[in-house]
Amino acid sequence: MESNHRNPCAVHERLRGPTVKGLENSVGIGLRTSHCERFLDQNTPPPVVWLEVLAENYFDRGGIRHKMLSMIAERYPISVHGVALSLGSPEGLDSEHLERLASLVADVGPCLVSEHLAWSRSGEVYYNELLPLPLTDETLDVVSANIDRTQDRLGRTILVENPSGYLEFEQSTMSEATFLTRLTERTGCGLLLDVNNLFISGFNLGIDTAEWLSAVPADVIGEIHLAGHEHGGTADHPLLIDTHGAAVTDEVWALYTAALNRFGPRPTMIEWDSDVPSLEVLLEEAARAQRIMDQVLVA
Amino acid sequence: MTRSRMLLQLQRTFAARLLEGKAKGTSPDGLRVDALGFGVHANNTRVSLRIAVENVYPVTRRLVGADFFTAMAEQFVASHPPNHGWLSAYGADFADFVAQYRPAAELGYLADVARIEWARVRAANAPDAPGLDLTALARMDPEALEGLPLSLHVAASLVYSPFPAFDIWRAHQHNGGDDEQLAQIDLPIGPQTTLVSRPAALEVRVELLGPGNAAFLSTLAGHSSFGAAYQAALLEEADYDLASRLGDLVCMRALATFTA
Repeated sequence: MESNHRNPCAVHERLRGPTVKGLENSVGIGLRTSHCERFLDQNTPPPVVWLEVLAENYFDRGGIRHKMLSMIAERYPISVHGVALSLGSPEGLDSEHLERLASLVADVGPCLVSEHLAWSRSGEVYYNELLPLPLTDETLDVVSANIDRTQDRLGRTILVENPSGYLEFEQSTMSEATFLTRLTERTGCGLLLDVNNLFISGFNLGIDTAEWLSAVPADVIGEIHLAGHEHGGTADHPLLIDTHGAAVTDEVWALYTAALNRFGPRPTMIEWDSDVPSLEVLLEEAARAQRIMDQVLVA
Repeated sequence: MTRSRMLLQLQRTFAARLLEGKAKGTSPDGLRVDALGFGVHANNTRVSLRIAVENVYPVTRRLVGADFFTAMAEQFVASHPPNHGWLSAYGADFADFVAQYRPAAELGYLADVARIEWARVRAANAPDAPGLDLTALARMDPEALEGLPLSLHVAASLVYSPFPAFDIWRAHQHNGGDDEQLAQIDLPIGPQTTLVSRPAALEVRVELLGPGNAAFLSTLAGHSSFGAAYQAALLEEADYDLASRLGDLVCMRALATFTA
């Protein structure tokens, strides 16, 4: 695919630094179905500053889920987090997918829109998994073209999330930090730093996490994710698996502190998707992130 | 291979192996990638799609048990992978798959219970649209009413089963004691027609229809007129009281509004 570059910074308002309207220095959580009713409760709305939703869960422009989100969005700032746009597809984006994302963004008016450095579609099949990309100039062209198209359609910049890595391609010619930085330069997009993913890639692939933090420019980081992981692989070849189904580990909290010290405070979100616990557990995790952010602000 | 084709080819090779059940832990030919890492992606793909099916069909799963369901759902996922990145429409054809799934051949009611479960998803996700307004019907002259082509509301579905699928579905709403409940259901009691609809913005309802209402709605669903549907209902129930039954169906938001 030939990429067709312009300078989108001239077209789109770029998300810069920590000044994301309404979310400055604050922690949000992922909105999960089992907690929706709590957020619809007029009398005791749960004390969280903002909520993030998985975009594709709200791609039907009507019905119960859409109605609930509309009601919740009247009271909480919403971040829209896509998991299936497949920015890494050389076949290009699925036009209907992009249109449904645009409808959701128009309906909800989110404070942030994010997606992943991944592919999840090939031919006619969608695989429901964030699949890895070789980090090459060709991939940079493909992902840049797809981000350009997305940002043009949405009329705003998006954030792109670093993946949790389980394998590397020998074709790769650059580091993840270099690839992501060049992506922001090419498209004007920002980055969503998933600290848990970075930690997992450090463990599984040997990425130097400190080097990653120092290599990526601070002003492109628009949001941070925190989540839990589990141990997998074999005794000879242990792997960390990104399950979003457990509490944030101490090592990830430490890397989060390092990230905030390097980049400054950023809107941070607790991501818990499987074995979802009570809302109170998520709020406790959010409070812990907030304490760390407050300490960085004081320092 | 030109440079610009490398990524496309790599993804095709990679993707071709993701849903092969036997490929656990082996990476695709021609890709020098870590086999164990590939296995993580292949496992995530299969398991996440199977769970997507499980989430839609909890009663079907209870009826056959977790292990049986897992095997059935994984075969469905491998033969019917999704085509879109949003999964609200994924699993629509699972009931048809269940109907021809040989290991479940003796459970004739299973596919119909699955159809009720899918109808609930449809009802929850259907576009918002007004239901039939009875006052508009009341204003029509009898002749026009007779020929009026009413239709089901976009969120409403009818599930006909030669088995008591509604009773089975209702008896398995919660885990525990299920086998006993199934034993108490008189299978020869069927057939049953179930109406699934969205009577209010945040509510999905599942109701067993009497023979008159079942005939009335299924005739309308077959694009027949209001008059023909009423006649069909009378054949099933000689004392079918149109005004009160229509009121019930409108409360269930079973019927769409019409353009006169």
